[in-house]
Amino acid sequence: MTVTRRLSAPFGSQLDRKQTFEFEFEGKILTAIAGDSIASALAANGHWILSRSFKYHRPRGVLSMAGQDANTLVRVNGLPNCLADCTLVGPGMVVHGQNYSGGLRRDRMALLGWLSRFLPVAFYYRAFYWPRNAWNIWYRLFRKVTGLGAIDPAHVAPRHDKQYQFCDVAVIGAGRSGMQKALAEAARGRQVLLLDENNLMGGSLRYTRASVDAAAELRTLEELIDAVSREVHIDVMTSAVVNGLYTDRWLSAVKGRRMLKIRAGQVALCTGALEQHALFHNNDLPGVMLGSASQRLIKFFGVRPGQRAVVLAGNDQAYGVVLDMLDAGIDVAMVVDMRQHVSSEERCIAVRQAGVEILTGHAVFAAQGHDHIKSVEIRELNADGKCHGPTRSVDCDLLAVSVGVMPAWQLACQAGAELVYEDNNAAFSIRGLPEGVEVAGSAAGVPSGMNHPWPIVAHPKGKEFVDFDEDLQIADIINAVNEGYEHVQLVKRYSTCGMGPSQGRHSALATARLVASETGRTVAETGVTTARPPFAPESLAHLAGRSFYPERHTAMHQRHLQAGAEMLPAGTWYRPARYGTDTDTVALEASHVRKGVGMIDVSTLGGIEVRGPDAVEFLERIYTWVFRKLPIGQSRYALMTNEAGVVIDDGVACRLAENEFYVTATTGGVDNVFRKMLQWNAQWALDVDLANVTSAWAAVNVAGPLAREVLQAAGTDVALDSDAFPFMAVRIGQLAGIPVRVIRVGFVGELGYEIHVPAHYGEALWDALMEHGAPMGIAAFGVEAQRLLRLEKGHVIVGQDTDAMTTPAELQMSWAVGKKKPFFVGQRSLQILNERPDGRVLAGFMIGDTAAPMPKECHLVFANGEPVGRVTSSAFSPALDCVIGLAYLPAADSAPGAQFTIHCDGGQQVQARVAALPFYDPAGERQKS
Amino acid sequence: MKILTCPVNGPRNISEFIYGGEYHPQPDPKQSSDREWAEYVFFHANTRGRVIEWWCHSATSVWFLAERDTGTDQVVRTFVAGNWPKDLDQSEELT
Amino acid sequence: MNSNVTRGALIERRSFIQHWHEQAGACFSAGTNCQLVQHYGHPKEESDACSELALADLSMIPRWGLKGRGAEAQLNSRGLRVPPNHGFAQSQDDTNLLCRLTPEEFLWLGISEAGLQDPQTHESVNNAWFLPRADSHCWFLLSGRQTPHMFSRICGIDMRPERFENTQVALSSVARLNAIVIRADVGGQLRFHLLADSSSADYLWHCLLDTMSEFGGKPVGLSAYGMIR
Repeated sequence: MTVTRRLSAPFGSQLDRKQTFEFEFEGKILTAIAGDSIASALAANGHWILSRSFKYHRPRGVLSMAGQDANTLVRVNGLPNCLADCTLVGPGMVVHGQNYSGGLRRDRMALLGWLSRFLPVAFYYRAFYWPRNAWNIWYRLFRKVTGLGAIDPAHVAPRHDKQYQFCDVAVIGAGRSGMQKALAEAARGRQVLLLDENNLMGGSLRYTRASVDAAAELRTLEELIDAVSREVHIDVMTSAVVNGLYTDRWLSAVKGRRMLKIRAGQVALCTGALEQHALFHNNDLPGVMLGSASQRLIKFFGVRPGQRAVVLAGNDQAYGVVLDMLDAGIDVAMVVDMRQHVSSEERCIAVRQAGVEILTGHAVFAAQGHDHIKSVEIRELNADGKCHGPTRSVDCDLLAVSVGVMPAWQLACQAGAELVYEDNNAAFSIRGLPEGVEVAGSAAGVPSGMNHPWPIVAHPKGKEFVDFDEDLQIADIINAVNEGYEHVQLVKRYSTCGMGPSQGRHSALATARLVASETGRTVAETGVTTARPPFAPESLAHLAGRSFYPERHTAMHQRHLQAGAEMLPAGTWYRPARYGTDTDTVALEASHVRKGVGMIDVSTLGGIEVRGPDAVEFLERIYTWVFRKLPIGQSRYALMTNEAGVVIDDGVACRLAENEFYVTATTGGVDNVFRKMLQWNAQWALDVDLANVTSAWAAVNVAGPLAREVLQAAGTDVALDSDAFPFMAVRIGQLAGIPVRVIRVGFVGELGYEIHVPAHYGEALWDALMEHGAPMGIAAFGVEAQRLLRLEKGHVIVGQDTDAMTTPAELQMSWAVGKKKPFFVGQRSLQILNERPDGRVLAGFMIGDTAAPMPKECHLVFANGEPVGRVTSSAFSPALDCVIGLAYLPAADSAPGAQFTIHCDGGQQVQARVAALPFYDPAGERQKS
Repeated sequence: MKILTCPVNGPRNISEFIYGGEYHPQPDPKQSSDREWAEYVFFHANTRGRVIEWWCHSATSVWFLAERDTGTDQVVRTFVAGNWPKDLDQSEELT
Repeated sequence: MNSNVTRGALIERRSFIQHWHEQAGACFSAGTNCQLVQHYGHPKEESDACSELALADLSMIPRWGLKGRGAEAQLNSRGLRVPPNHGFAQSQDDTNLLCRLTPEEFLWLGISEAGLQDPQTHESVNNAWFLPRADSHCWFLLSGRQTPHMFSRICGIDMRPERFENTQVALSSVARLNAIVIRADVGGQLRFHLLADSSSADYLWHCLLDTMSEFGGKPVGLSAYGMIR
């Protein structure tokens, strides 16, 4: 097809006419000029239907030509919901319409339009209360017909990312007032970031006609752009949509595939105004568009929006539209002015002089046509804004509507400002902006005379659309009010008005007017609904963008991977779960520790240095047990409770010197413990220094009867025999030439040494232990074997076996609570709680029946048919050859030997017997050997 | 995003901070009744208006106090616990 | 490749990203108890990259921290030039850096490798507590005029040279990690030292490589900065 609707230069300022290319729309090959948007290229080819409406599947075409409406949502190269009026055509682009069945021009679903009176407002909310399961039947159909666009599951989003940006002043909108504001701020030496959603600066200067002398306006535009471009203090960012204005002048903007997070010292909103539609029968027909849309087609893209036009006017700006149309060679059949008198403004005079017929005090009553406008029906307006009298029909293929504008209020209102409307003259203003945010140009307000107060003409057959996105007509809004939803916010939620992709940009004012009229209030009293980010639709790819998920690896991470470990996330850490995938891997790893010697990477264990004259006093207050008399070179179990007396962490406190302790904490708990310690000391002001040195130390636990031989073989200056280095002692020295801290802890209930080394030595330590332990048959074991081994010893895992109520007494750990201490954090609460009878106890259990199913954590314990407790840990113990576990039981029923029932998966009941803890080596002889 | 001023590190995005709850001084555990103690541990005033809150700058683990209006979300001032402003009563909760 | 160290020989201190260096074909040179990346096979290109955008692993170079109300006096008594204000670093005569992170917390970066094994530095005395920063933190060096742009992708602090002045120090979040960023230009070349939790070194390194790719940034060995020959 040849391009026939095109206008020659100077029309088509966006086009690069030297380049033309082909693209595909609905299977047809069409020609576009470089710089064309999809919508303008289609218009140039005579295609006006871009989509089908959401509910009634009515044909929809260009409305704003500025990305402000949802009519233009199309699928581009498989990506749904692209705005055809904002997306530039590229060579070979494949474009499809959306929301139709069969064909865009002949949509089988258009039938729904005939059913509209059976699809009343809030149809979904109301229709399926009765019968009770009606929804279950209907939803399958709805899933098919609702939603916009189709997702291509094979589509891979290209890389999106995020960026921080900073400036002294962010000016949003590079129109006349934006450019002037930017120049003024730059002149004061401020670094200005000037953002605009369009690809060129200029705003409305590029498409409106503010005066008869179009050339003078063009000069103003060029001068401003030239001045801005020369100003070194201004950074211009075009094609960037500012979607949110948040607290403390924090802006989010989308530019291409990037989301910008901008912190501005000051924000100037120069976002201009949004032209508003008029309401009449079939106001959504393709060929009916806003005056500014017709101007954009003419001036940006050199496309004649029609051959014979009618212009519906409510202000003087409409006459600028007419002048542009005349310049473009469009036959303007008539101006229908809703005002009683035409002003004496120069544009109006020029139109009259051009011989265009002007009909004042009239309105468009209806647009007629099947899938494009063919004629308009015009009637006289009476004093109360209603049409009467005979109908006059005028043939046309274009109806341009220019009846009013609204400030682009969204960002200002997001920042907390209020949009003010004056009922007596339909003027808008903005007030109550937060400090550092200002507004200029038409965004600051729309003066008297710009807005027709009531561009709403009801029709007996309806179809005067208030909200195009949701196919809402005048009656829908009125019905919502009549059903009791009088507040505009409730009308919105009940009718879904303003909830579609255009977010009320065209429906908010009309809705407010209708609700005001129906409730006998003023528009000012009625107000508009809250504006929330994002201003324009945002893709999930932008939000997901480039996300950061920090991971923590120990120094031995590569060694685990090389050994075939399956890595297990533990918070942000990764730990080896087991080395191998055989079903008996864990049991073998565990047996190896019990019978020979094993080693495990415990670098993730938290480590906190507590140093200073008040170090002991601090530990006494933080932990439940006593540390004052702990000898240097010894360690002691440390249990931590919060103010409610609840167990929140545990570890081992090592006394390295009189005033120096090295305290361990759980992998997941250390950050919180450390922070909590600092918070307490911010109040206590003890003379103590706290340092979280978790990452500074790598650690390996060597455990098993042969552990001592391994350390000996590696070579160490630490005397290892039990008299010199007894259970729970701490030594500082060297091992395999590496500086070490060694703690002789129980851990898994065997002879064991926890070897801590500066983190960068971690891998070398691992290698040395593997090498020197080889004659002893040393093997690495993972977290799963560790948990099994520790469960056999009855060790509690804080967080796994404890909950938000667990006290030390419930854990049978009152031995770890100092009885004579003057104070520790949970002490007062524990005094109260310990006096309460009939608490619960975490008890060990065994299951004799080897065929019984294995209980899992959180399976319930029953007594006399009532749930009385729950399982927290369970495992098959190779050492004991039966299933063991921990469960909360009523204290009265927790004596060793007592029987109880566990309800397992599928309702199976398993008999368990309370066992004394620890299950394995109750006397603890092995770990002290 | 809100900016919060750490008394040590200066103004930073609020995402760098951790909220530590409303400040309310601990009653003497030896003198308080069970009821008083339980109220201290579990009850919060949830005031609308100016309150004192704990905040922690997570990158540096600096704890400090912020006087904030919970109605307007305005942070009036921030200070470290050792530098308590003279015009603020440290012993009683604000109302 | 340096002749006195063979790749894969037993070394005691190893960077958390040693495996990456080896896979990237690094040529190593012997440091104290460790290996230092000399270059990745393209010394000329790496040297050129430093003025545009380059990343180097300094994790094997000495550093320590000192904290407490006696820290400043302690540092003064050792003859170090202490920055008067926190949030700033002070270059020492031998080009080492002393950074004042908070009023009572200091970080010493042994950029020149001189004054390295001062055992005195590992002692805590008179309310000045030693912090094992050489192990708790990895240490990366970023340089070149594109560095502030690169930072804008991963850090919420304005690192533009006119806003984040030379010797300024920030403790903030980088790619969601707590990090220390220090600007310390050399010969007019923008340089930023970045220290973060050593356990996240691998994560951060890959994160930086990924972010730098937009600007054509490169990982470089220490010879590119003349830090080793």
